[in-house]
Order: sequence, then structure tokens, then C-alpha cells
Amino acid sequence: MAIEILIPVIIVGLTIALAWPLSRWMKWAMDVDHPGPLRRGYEDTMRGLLGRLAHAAQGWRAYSVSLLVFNAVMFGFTYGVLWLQPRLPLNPDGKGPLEPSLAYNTIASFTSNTNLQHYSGEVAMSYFSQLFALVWLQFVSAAVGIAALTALCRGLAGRREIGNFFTDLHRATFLVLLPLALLLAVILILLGMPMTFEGAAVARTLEVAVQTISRGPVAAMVAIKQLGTNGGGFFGPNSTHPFENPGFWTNVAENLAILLIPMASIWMFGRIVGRLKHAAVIFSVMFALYAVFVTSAMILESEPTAAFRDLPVAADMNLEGKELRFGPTAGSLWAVSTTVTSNGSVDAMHDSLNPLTGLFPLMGMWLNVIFGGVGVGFINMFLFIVVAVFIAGMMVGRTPEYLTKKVEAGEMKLALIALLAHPLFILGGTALFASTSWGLSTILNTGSHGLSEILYEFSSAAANNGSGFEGLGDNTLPWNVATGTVMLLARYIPILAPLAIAGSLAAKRPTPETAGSLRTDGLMFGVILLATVALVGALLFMPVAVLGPVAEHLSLEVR
Amino acid sequence: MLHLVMLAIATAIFALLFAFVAACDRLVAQSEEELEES
Repeated sequence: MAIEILIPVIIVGLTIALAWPLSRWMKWAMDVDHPGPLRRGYEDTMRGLLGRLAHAAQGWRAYSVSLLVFNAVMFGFTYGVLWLQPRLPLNPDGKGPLEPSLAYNTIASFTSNTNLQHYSGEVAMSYFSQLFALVWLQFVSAAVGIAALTALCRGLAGRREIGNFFTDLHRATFLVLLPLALLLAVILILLGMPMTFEGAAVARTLEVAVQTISRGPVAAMVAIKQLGTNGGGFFGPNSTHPFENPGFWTNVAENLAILLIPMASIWMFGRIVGRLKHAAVIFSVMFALYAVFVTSAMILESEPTAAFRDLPVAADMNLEGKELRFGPTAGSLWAVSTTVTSNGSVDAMHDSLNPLTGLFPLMGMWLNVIFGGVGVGFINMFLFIVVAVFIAGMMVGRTPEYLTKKVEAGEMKLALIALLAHPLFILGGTALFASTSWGLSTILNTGSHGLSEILYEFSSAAANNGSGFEGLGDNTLPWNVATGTVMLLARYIPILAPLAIAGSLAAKRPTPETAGSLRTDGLMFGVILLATVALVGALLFMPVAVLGPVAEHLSLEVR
Repeated sequence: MLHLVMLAIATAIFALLFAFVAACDRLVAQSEEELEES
């Protein structure tokens, strides 16, 4: 058992250790102070290629509009690729066109960095679609998150011009994501992951049956899938598939890659605003929540499944739905890591988790601030910080301040709009689908577990996570349109509102810090922030948690 | 035909998001005006 505990500790410890130097690299890549000749050459080349797009410094409004225009264009382009799939090259297995609502859902999903998949890649997608629609979006959607975070940091550092969106986008893509993805892809290939453009292999088994074995450019997709907190797999079973996660060491490498950039993003924020102690407090709050989630999930999953209780079967933990090549506790660690970071890849069946264990992936997506998605994890936490400083300011009777800028009604309104959109999408969507045939005809379980299946799908879409609880026939017109729409709105509203807040704060004169100011680099701020996240999360989601996983747990205990 | 409907839905969502940016802009401008008055 000791080794089962030691492995998660080593994975997480190694990730924390690597996140620190990576944050230095990310700061250099995204917001360099003194570029050397090589870097100046790169910037001049990109300015030459992008022309007027990359020249002007932008305020928050122009930056936001550029971000939306880019994403809308990407949506249209990649939708066209899926629409025209049968006529495009790199289709050795002759994949046909996608059904329109599935194409809409898929492109909304990959544009929004969600990667919720209502299809199986090996069945539905040509290599061209995988590489030039989906992998392309996996790169640029993650880059959009890093760009937005960099812009927010510049605004919080008091700069009225928060950069140029297209400049930040190419820096995030070519200087951060591409080198890391290349390195990881090479490691994964060396560890046995396929990377080929040949069509499916046909094998004859010992029983003389013919077996078709799908393969393709898997390593390229898996590297950016994990590093960019995308999560969308090449194969339907995602990282439980032996070609997408061939063994113990690929599992370690992929788990590390899930957490790496989200952790480094917090330190990058500290470096850009020049407040590393403040970043350390935020990192500690996130890590405290993460540690509680992982520990709780591992303890709860060490109980055997209730279905085995009255059977003459020896079971000392819940092994249902686990990939035992990686060890029985690996599934719990991955389930938490993938849901708190909005990654969404899976190496165990979440539908088979014990009911209370399943609550932790759900809570990770509800809070959506525990390291979170690439770039956007800190942006989401920033909304809670605004609420926390406002509450703290009200408690001591002072005008709330954050990083020497007064937080007033305008900023609070924007923060609350973005914060409340998230539960509205989850709870509103769940209520609608749990009370109509759109949802009821698609669940494979009744009662509280069936509610959890619907709840998980909307939580995954709204948190831009993309993991599936499964047990749900989700490739239907209502599911495709509803979750596609939720993914798009839930992606951009929490990016646009914080950029507006940063723009508003940047325009204000700094107020000198006094003895009465709330220090943001101390234990007190950490406790206030932690309490705000926990209380707001509990108030919003406790009722539905009781109706879903908690009710299921209690019903199994009574039985 | 259904492809066009799906693209129309996506267009409507992005239009809504552009309107959201405009609404945020008005809110920020309003709070800047209040700041200057005070």
C-alpha cells in the first residue's frame, strides 16, 4: 500500500518542482523584459508574417474583440474540415461526414478547450480531421487561455494597454506549447505510443478471426491533449486505451503533463505582476484543496463497490472500471487531476467510482479554480479573489482594494456575472434535461445515479472539462446542441469579464498601501480566499450534490 | 441544411458574446465616469 501512496506523491512533487522553472520560461516567452537578438529576430519575423494584426498594442476591449474574432474564424474553418471530411486527404479508412449536430458539438468542444467527445475518434475521424481540425484547435485553444492570462496579468500590473492578442497567441503557441508538446511526444513515442499515418492494421487471431486494429498519429495528439488541458483522446476510451497510454511510465508522464502548465501559470502571474509571495498564497490555497480532494478520493475508493457487498467475492477496494496496468489508486489520482484542471482525459471509468468518490471530480468542475485550465484556472480564481477582497473590505469597513486598486461596484458586477453564469449553465441545464425526455431517454440508470449522469455532463461542459461520466447516450440532437452552446458561453464569459475588470482596475490610480490595507501575501488572505471558494461553492452546489451522489451513497448504505 | 442551422447557432452565440463585450465596456465606462466625478 505504501507504494500506492508514494507514486502520487512523487508525481505531484515532481510536477511542482518542474512548474517553477517552467514559469520562468513562460514569463520570458509571454512578457519578456529584455529580449536578446534571437528573440528580437523571432518577434520581427512574426510581425512580418502577421502584418497589421500584430502591430498595435490593445486595450482590454480591442483585445477581447480580437480574441472572439479569432475563435469565431477558427470555429468556421474547422467546422468546414469536418463537413468536407470525405473529400479531404489523409483518410485511408474512408471515414464519412459527421452528422451536423455532432460536428457542431465537436467544434464547439475543441474551440472552447473542452474536448467533450460525443464520438469515438477511431470510428468517426480521418487523420486529416484529427490533425488539422482537432489537434490544431488543441494548440490554439490552449494558447488563447495563456494569452488571456497574460493580458489579465498586465492589466493587474497597472498597464492600460494589455498587449496584442495575436502576438500573445503566437508566443503561447510557438514558444510555450509547441516545444513542450514536441518533447512530450518524443518521450511518449519512445515509451511505445504509435505515431503513424498508415491506416488500421488487420490482424488474424489464433482463432482465425479477423481483427481491425485502429492506429494513427496518436503521440502528437496525446502530448498536446495533456499539456493544453484539452483532454480529447484519439480513441474513444481515451487514456485507458493501450495505444493512448501504453504503460506505467506513460501514465506518469501524462499525469504530470496534466498539472504542469496550470501550476506554472500561477507562478507566471506572480512574475508578471511582481508579486511572487501573493502567487505563493494562491498556489497554496489551490494545492490545499487539491490535496484534500486527492486524499479523500483515494480513501473513499479504497472501499469495495456496494454491488459486491453480499457476494462471496474477496474485494478490499473498488476495482470496477479501473485500469490495473497503472495500479488501483492511479484512477483516483487521475480522476481528481483531470477534473480540477479542466483537462478531461480519463484513465478510469468515472461512472464506476463509488458515489462519494464521484463527488470529488464533480466538485473539481464546480469550483473550477484548483489550478484549472491552462491560463483560465487563474482567471477563474481571480473572480473569487475579487469577491474575497470585497467581503473582507466590507467586514472591516474599508473600501476593498486589490493590488493597490480600489474594487468597486462595477468590478463586483462583472465578477458576479461571470461567477454566476457557471452554476446557471450547470443547474439550469441539468434541471431541463432531468425533467424532459431530452435527458430521461438517454440515461442508462434511474434514480440519483441517473441524475448524476446528467449533472456530470453539464458540469463537464460548463467547466470546459470534457471528461465523461458515461452511462449516457449523449450523441443526440438535444445533447449536442445544448452542451455545445454551454461550452461556448462558459468558455468566453469568464475570460471576457475578468479582462474588463483588469481594464477597469488598470485605469484607476493606485492607492498607497497602509497598515489597514488587506495584505495579499499572508496567511489571512489565504484563509479568506479558501473560505470564499468553499462557501460560494457549497452554497451553489450543495443541494444538487445531496440529490445526486450523496443520496446514492445513502441509499446503498441503507440497502 | 442542418449544417447551415448549426452554423447559424454558432454565429448567434458569437454575436451574443460580442454584445457581452459591449455591455462590459459600458459598465467599465460608467464606473470610470463615476470615478472622475468623485
